[in-house]
Amino acid sequence: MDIRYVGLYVLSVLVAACSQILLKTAADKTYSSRLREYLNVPVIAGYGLMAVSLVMTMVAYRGVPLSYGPVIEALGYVFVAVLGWIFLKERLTGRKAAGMVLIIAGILLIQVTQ
Amino acid sequence: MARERKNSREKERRQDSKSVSASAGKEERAGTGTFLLLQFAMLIFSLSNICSKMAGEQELLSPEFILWFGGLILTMGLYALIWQQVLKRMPLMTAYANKAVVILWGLLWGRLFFQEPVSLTKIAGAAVVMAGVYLMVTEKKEG
Repeated sequence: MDIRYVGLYVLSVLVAACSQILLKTAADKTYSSRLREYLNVPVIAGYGLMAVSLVMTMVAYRGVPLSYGPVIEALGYVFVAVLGWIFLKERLTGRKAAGMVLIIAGILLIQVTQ
Repeated sequence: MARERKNSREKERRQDSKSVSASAGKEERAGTGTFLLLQFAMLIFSLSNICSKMAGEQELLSPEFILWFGGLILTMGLYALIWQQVLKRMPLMTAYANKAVVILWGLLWGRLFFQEPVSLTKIAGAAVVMAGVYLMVTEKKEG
């Protein structure tokens, strides 16, 4: 396993988390029509970023075993929580943090014991 | 007089509770319907994973590849449409935590379609994941 590819994978997860922040920002606004809810800059940029993240993940898999993918992707829960807390002012309560720890622990249990 | 004062006080209280629920805001709109919509989105997402796996196994640009790749685009598009509606009614953190449910679907589809073994540790891991998702979605203090 090449540490640079692991780094690229982690970066791709971070990019995907940023795209979620954009999508949520767009979803919180009110629009004149259903169509406008989808055809606006943050939504299109959000899905654009997601596509970038997807390409980064594909390249990263050259140096990362397939079974490690979901484990690295589990970082997404942490990234989304921290970015949501910073940029969306969402509350990160003890209960939510405990939930996230359980989710990541469960993913480790599934993937690492394969 | 006393009754009048009581009335006005009650009116104030009512206005108070109204303004509180308004400031608690959009996050409170998430109900059972939104939750079911979210779970439906996760089911669609898990199906897009199948399409992606199948497409990856086909010869590039063969009819089978185009079929599965088309399925991938279709399911991802549908997922994106629903996801934006869910985000309107729920904090991102909570909605995103539900992605973990896809793991459960993945175990089921893997067993059904790809003959992947489901071990006890995998079931235990899935149970731990679900406990985590449960904690996240049942958090009352939002916004």
